[in-house]
Amino acid sequence: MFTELYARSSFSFLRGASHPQDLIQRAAELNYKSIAILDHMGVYGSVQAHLAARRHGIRALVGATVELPGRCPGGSPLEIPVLVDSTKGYQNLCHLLTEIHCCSEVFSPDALSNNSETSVFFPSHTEGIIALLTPESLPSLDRKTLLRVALMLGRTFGKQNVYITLTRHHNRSTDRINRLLIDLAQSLKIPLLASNAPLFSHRRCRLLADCFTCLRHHTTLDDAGTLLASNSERYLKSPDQMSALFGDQQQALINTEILSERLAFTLDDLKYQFPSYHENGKSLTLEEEARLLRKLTFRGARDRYGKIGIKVRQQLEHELSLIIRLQFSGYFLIVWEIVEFAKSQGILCQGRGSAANSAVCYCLGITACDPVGGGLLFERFLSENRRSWPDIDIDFPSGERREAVIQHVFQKYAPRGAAMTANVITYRPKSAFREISKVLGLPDSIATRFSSLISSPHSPDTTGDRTNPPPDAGKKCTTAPEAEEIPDGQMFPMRDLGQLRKTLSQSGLSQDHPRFRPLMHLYHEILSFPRHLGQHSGGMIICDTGLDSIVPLQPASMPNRTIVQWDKDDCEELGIVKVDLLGLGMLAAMEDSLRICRQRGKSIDLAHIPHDDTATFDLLCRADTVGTFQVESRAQMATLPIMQPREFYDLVVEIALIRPGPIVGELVHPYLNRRNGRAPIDYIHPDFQPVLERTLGVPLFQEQVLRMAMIVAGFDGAEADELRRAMAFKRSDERMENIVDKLRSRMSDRHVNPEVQEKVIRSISSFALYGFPESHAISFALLAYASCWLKTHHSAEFFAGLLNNQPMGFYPVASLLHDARRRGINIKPVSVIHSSLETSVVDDKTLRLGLQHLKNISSSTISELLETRSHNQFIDLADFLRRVQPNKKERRLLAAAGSLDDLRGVAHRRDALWQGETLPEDDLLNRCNDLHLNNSEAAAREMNCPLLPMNDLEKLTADYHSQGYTTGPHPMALLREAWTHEFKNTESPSRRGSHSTSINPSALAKARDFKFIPHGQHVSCVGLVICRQRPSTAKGHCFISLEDETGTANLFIPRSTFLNYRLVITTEKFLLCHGRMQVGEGDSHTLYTTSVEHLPLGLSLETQSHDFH
Amino acid sequence: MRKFFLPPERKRLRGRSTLKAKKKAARLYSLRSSTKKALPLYASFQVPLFSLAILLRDRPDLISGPVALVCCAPDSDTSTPSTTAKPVILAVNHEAARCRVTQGLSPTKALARCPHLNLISSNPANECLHQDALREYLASLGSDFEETAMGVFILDLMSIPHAMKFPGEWVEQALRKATPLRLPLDVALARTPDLSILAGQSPALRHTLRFNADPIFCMAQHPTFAIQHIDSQPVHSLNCVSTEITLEAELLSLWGIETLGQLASLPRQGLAERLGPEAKIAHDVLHGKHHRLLRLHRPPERFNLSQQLEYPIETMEPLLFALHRGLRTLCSRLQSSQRAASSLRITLTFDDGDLYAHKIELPEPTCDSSLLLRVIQTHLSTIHAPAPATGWSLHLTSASHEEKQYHLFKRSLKNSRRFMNTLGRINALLGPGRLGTPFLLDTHRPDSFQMKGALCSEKLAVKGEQNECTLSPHYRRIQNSTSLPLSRFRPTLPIHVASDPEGRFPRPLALLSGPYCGPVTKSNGPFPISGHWWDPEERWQQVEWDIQLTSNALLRIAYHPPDNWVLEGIYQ
Repeated sequence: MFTELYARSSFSFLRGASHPQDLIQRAAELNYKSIAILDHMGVYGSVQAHLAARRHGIRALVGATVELPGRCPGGSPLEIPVLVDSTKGYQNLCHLLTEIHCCSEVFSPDALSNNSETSVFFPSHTEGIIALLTPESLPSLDRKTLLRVALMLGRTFGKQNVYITLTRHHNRSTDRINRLLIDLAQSLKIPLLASNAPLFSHRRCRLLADCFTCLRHHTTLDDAGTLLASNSERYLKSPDQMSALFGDQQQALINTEILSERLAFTLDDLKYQFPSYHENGKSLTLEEEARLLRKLTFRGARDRYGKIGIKVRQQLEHELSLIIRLQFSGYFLIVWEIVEFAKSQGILCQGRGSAANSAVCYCLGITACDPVGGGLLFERFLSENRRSWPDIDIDFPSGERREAVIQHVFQKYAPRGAAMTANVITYRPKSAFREISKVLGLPDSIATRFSSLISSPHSPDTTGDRTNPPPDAGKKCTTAPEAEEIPDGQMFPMRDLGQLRKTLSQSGLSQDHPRFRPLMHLYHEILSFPRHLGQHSGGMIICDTGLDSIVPLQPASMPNRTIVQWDKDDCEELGIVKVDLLGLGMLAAMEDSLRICRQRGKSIDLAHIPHDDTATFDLLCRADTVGTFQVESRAQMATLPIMQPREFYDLVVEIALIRPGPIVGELVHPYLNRRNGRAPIDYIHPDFQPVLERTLGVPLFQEQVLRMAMIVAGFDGAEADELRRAMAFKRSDERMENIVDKLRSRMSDRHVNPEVQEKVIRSISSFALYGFPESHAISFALLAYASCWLKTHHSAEFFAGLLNNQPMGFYPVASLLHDARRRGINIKPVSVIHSSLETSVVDDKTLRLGLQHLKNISSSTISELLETRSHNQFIDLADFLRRVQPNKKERRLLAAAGSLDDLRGVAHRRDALWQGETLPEDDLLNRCNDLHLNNSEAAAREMNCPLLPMNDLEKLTADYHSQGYTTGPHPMALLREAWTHEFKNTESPSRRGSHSTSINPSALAKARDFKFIPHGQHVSCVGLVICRQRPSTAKGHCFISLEDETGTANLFIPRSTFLNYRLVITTEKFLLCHGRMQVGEGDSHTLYTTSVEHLPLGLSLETQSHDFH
Repeated sequence: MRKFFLPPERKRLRGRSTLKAKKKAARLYSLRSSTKKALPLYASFQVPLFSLAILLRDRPDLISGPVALVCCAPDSDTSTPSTTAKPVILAVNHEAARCRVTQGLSPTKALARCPHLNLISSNPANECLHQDALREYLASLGSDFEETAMGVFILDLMSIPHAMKFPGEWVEQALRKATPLRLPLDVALARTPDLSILAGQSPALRHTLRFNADPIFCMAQHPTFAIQHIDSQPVHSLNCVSTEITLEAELLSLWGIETLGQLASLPRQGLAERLGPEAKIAHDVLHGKHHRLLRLHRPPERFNLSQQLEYPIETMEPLLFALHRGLRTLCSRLQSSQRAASSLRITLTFDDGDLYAHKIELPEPTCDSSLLLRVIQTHLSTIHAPAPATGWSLHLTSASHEEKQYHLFKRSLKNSRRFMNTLGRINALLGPGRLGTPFLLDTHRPDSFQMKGALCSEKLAVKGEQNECTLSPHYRRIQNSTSLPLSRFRPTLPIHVASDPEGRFPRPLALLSGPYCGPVTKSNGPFPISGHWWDPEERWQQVEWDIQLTSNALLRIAYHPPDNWVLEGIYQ
């Protein structure tokens, strides 16, 4: 019997070389009853260890290794592993870690050296914390220092809470060090412990541990020298091995067991409480909260529904009784308060996700869709037997407005009552390759080339593209034998590298390179290992009694934000409720559009726009949805003409239909066929008719799947919730299998037809990875409809809002401008005379681009420009330069972009460039002369410019360089014109034969012409790539949207073509594509591409495209 | 292929494409020009795409396919190749250019455009070798030349009367001499150094002429070079001319100035106002008004002397006499250039054709010929000549006197003469490679050290201290892990050991062979150590044991898997 009390996992970033799950699994294999993982400066991996331990039937003890800086600047740090034996101890540990992370100034060497009191190291309460003194705690192990630190620990933690740990790693120094420690223990009567201080689960993982050592010390394996381990002994040893190792120190082994028995705390004992609602600075009791919630709900219901009908009242009573019974009133009130704060600040917001299933949320103003009218399933949101808290997601306009809400929450629960959830950044193929090649001393250029060569993120042909730890993470190094220290022969066996082989060769790394095999081995090993902690996009957790009692906090990279040491999944597993305050670009754009409408005297309330507007549905039916919310993707635009939505719920279905789940589950075509009457409606089982009626028998929503399970298998609310969690929990196939088995057996018990059983199972499996609740679809559909309505009826304001909130959505600014122009909107370029900061609406058909669109112009210059102009308009260029004083780069950029063209005395862009290079002389005489400059003199000055005006192509290049788009003709229009001219010249008899590379534009189809090309005809087309997609559900096929001056052409790139032309497709901005036309359902025309070429251009445009998102 | 530019007068003769006709024309022209007053004339010699040309010279298998030279883009701040910068294509051959691979592309884009593209990296060492060869070649043509850049030279023809009189003929002769270089070479003549470089890069001025099928390119420029001949050249050609001219390429591009002709047509004063005095210089260069001085190449002085004896010498005394005479000459040369010898290399040739060479590092730079002779004498006394000596050569490496003085007020050695002598004797006694300063390596591998020269002890001491600081704390702690001194066997002694195979590491029971045999009474271990696992050639592992025999000998033995045991040392 043995318990390892000082293990470290991969969450001791760049120290441990095994995942917590692997350590636990190995411990279980070795018949451990418990194991303590003391990660460096945190409890990052404790939840995963706890869950794994629960699965394997052992206990994961909690603790951390606390590092304190040396007492003098540059001094070696002190590392004290600490364990917790009680809830109080855990809370104290969390406090301590939070203090060290968040108040680094207190623990700076300067501060510590100024304070002679030893307890300054551990300023907070230390009750329940057990400290270990290990050979690694101190930089130098001499008798005097050991004694000093042991006494300090004894004074701080209490003598009974300090242990001395012996380790034996078969090093020559071990005996001497252990003798010192044993002497110390005997003289101070401190009990001894035995440990192997493992850094990994198996000996073979030492290779990765050595790499981490190099990464931590910013060195290479060749230069690391004795920083590396001398052998592989720091693995998790079996109790027998430990008994043999410490045969002469039986008491240490016994003490270890005694201590492990004493450590009663596991994360099961975490006492998390969601904060109660505060009113007027006073915390409300549960009853008060319930009363307030009821009052607010019914007040809101009256606002929402006018007269509260029986059905609504019953639903509200049902929900309220459940909420109050489960003591969740405070949670709803707190979310309500956040929403109210946002509304009070004029910030648009809308709840989404499962919260939209709740009528209470609707009445409180948290969500915008009526669940009673929509017949939504409340149990999807909250049910009697749910283990976890309900989850409410709220969308806010992205940017500063969302940050204001987040800061409000931080301030309301300050200090340390709220924090963002963490996001564990793991090694992905590019970072893994770069780090390992760096450690192996390979040139940086190889990693750089590899990074640029590696294909799209979702491509199945990129070996090792894995986001989460594999279930067999601990068994990965199956090749290294156990018997030898370093195995001979096949130490790094050649893997099947697939497409990676070619990529590596193109990166300049030969397979004959002596370090090729180690590189490949370690590259695959390090994938999915945690690298560092980031912050979640919007998940916040709140705790009334101090969040730093529950989990350590640490500062986020963004100022004024803190994060917890667990990610959102870990928080959910422990029942910690989270509020997602998400940023949505479209909300910001719509808010701006509404503001502009208001300024132009057209006040609009989105809540009251008609939901049956024919013009809006016409826009949807003809898929004129560029720039709108959710229905602007290529797949959505391809489906809209088939779907022909004519009412709001059609839009809800449309949004839910074009998702990975239904696509993978092959539900799209059955639905569309049934909708168009090409296939009969099948409800799988007669009992499902009420559930599936609205989706024509096709289960599209999670709620439907849950209801089906409740009907056909008799699942109760808790089991349905379990099914939902299994469907949403992307990591665990095992979990899904278990629930499916349960479902199957329950259906069999109820004598359900096997065929029906299969259909039900298949429907559920389709959702296993990409479940989408109906409430969520409705919330999204509301915004989608609103954006389409704005585009239809207030196009200028809609586009202005979009342009002011870039980047967002699928399309670059250039494409949005082309779409606006196609709708008859005139786009005026940026001008220092006329433009304001943001894009403004001149009239219903004219937009003036804002100064913010100019790249690399500092905000101070723009402010200066606007401020100066507000006093007096600029007289001429010299006056502008004198008053605004842009720097050299800005002067050039403004001139090249044509923003100075409206100034008097400027003939063209190059004239501005030429004049702008000489700074105006700031004397009164010159200014007076300038003021009296008449037109002829100004014209004469223009004549002095020795530079020729820019031609169209040069203007285009300058526009893309300065703004990323042009207000002039589309690049393809200019190119086509140039080709036509060139081709005519080369066709002349005198030059015939010399045009092998010239393009015949008449042989190229334009996007506009696609709809007239019959199915199967061979077609070539050219265009600017605006979107590349290769979703993981597409079996390696790729989709490209190619824009030309007439519109957007859709390309389908089959997998084989993609692999043949991968680099051309992923790197080139303009493509020449050949293939045959495919006319599909709804008269959709797509080019089935068989070959792709780079388009020879004489210009370099800095275009943007939406790639592989 | 060879390219030859004809001056305007000679262009009329293009119809006659024979070499003879062109030679005649060149002579005609030369005669005409020679009657004029002698103006300065410069010849530029340029290897186009120097790095790529050198790589392709040694890899003829690549020539037929598309090839691109790839390198990290230079750091914008330091203009040096950055280790973190993204790699870009530096140069391409014709095949790659046909596939639209251009300079400045990323390797990924280049591969996208040309999937079969061979990406090769530059070889700086090889480039230096070829630069040396080119330098020697230029030195053979004339003494006054400038090494403008890698693969670019300018030769002042004023000191070569033949070239001034018959430039065409001289260029042809110069190119014949370049044949062994096997590199493409562009030659251009002009009245200013900068224009000669620009002319050499101008494709408009090239005229092809096949010359013995050798890959030699030649372009001879009319000395009265006119701006219109280079007006279509890209404006960045100016960067090759001089480091003084660094015009802002981005601004010129914004102005639409792409060629030298466009730049030359801009007003000089306007340019200077906007781009500073550099622009004025550039303008003058293009109009042939800027005439800079060449930074003439001067070869470093060499201190070599050799002699082929008229008759073989059988005894040492006459040889030493001859050597001493040579050393006196070399030392006086050193003194006159205020230098001293830091090392010397002696080479002897023997009657039977054998050769003996030895290099002697000196502890302190000196130009004392008798001291140097003493050192040579000590060394020669240890070798046995296979036959009478027929020749000798001496090569002294020069250094400044103060270079080896480590301390401010005193020299490193009190009596360098004696120390040098002593070292010579020890070296002679031990044999080569056995004298030096051991330098501890930062590794777990036992007894890992590196022998450095005996005479660099002070530098090593400094390095050793630094090395000590970088060792891990753990390593520093284990240095004194045993209190007993260990005498090591170098090399270790192979032994046979009876061992208990139980467990992961075999435990020694008795030593069966070697200097110490007998049953093991006590053992301490195992101490498994391993390292360098990432390198198949240098991977190592061993398991050490400290044992005590019945004879009370305390030994350190090591087990090398799969079944080798060695005796590492004995504790004193």
